[in-house]
Amino acid sequence: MKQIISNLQIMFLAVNFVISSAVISLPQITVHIGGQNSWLVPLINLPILTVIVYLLLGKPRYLESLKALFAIKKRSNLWEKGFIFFFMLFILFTFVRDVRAMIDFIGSVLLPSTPNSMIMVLTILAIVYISMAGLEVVARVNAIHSVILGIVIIILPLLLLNEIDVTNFQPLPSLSTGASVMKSVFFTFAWLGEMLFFLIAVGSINPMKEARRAVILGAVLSTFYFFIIIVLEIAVLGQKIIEEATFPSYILIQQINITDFLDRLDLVIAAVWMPTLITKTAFLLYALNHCLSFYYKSNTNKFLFPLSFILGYLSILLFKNSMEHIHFSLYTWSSLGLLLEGIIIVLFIVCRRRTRKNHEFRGKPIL
Amino acid sequence: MDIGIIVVWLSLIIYVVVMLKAKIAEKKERKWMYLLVIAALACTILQGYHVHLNGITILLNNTFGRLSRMVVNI
Repeated sequence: MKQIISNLQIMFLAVNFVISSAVISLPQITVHIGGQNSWLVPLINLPILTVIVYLLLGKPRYLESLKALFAIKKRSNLWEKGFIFFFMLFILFTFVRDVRAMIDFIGSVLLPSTPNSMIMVLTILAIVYISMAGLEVVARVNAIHSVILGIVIIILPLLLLNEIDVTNFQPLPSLSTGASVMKSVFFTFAWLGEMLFFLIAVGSINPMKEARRAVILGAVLSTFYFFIIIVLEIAVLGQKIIEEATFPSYILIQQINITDFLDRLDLVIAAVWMPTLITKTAFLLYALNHCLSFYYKSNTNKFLFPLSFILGYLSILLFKNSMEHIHFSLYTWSSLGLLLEGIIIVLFIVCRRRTRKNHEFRGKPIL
Repeated sequence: MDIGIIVVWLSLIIYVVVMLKAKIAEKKERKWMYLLVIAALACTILQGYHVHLNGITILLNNTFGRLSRMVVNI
């Protein structure tokens, strides 16, 4: 039976794809390059993301033709196979990077005496448990956690009101700082472009007509959350501390100090952040299984269990140490992710056009 | 032996037993199941002996990573 997700769920999925992993260490490189004016970066990224969504989904009246796109057990052309191949690469790199980021974060901040392999095994068990239930369950779990994360991010300025130092934004942006901000946009775009993961689930959205608006709303919300986090980090921590920190967002929430007894809210907020990342990786595992099923021409999740362990171990084996992972995440992924996203966008547009032509041809009466 | 490796081995043994006993995996699917289980076991052994597969990461860091570093001077 085909799984269906609503527009609200696809919106929350788009939010989660962007914010859950970007929040861990992306502000560090953003502020390192863009300086105190990095709060402009999400604002510049938003119109680019919006244009990409418009390009990808096209006019609402043609959206119905996308329902058959990337469906399993159907004859597929070379373009679709090519799209699935590059999409699979995109998923693999992101999954391995995110699981390793999660392991490093938990291992260094939350459970310092637990071995990395045990953290990985427990994380993978949680991921595979959600993922095996299918797209609908992943979308529902994601919606719950995204809402909670959204509430936490929105109330964050109130919680940190007594720590904000407005002078950290000085000197204000000028034309001479434009180049560094644009460089920062280049470094963050591959991460924000991870919103493209929704493409694999595009055939499962119902009703289809509102899909474009939902994805754009997701992009707006996620960039807004990222904007809040960047602004708060600059205002509370200042440029120098963010540049030196591996997990600046965690240091930010450690600064919450409302009263004498409410000073360990960081653990509560970390406990809200982690499930969103687990849900994102669960979706990635589902998407990878969908891609493999597309080639295998049979919709099955029988092999998901050993596959998830292979990917989990790859997240440890592919990076010798945390530094190699950070280098990959902050530098390599900026170019590699951008390249993969570019290829995926072009191939999706070609696939969409071909599917639309077939759809129109089938709709014509035979005379 | 690492506790993580023991948990993975036990989980994979249970997975294979359930798949075979409940006849979830059809005959033509079994080769894929065995292949993936062996690959997962191989990964645990590599991790146990601290053998890293970071050659691909080094290659990517030296190509795409260098490309990104050309944009900024850090």
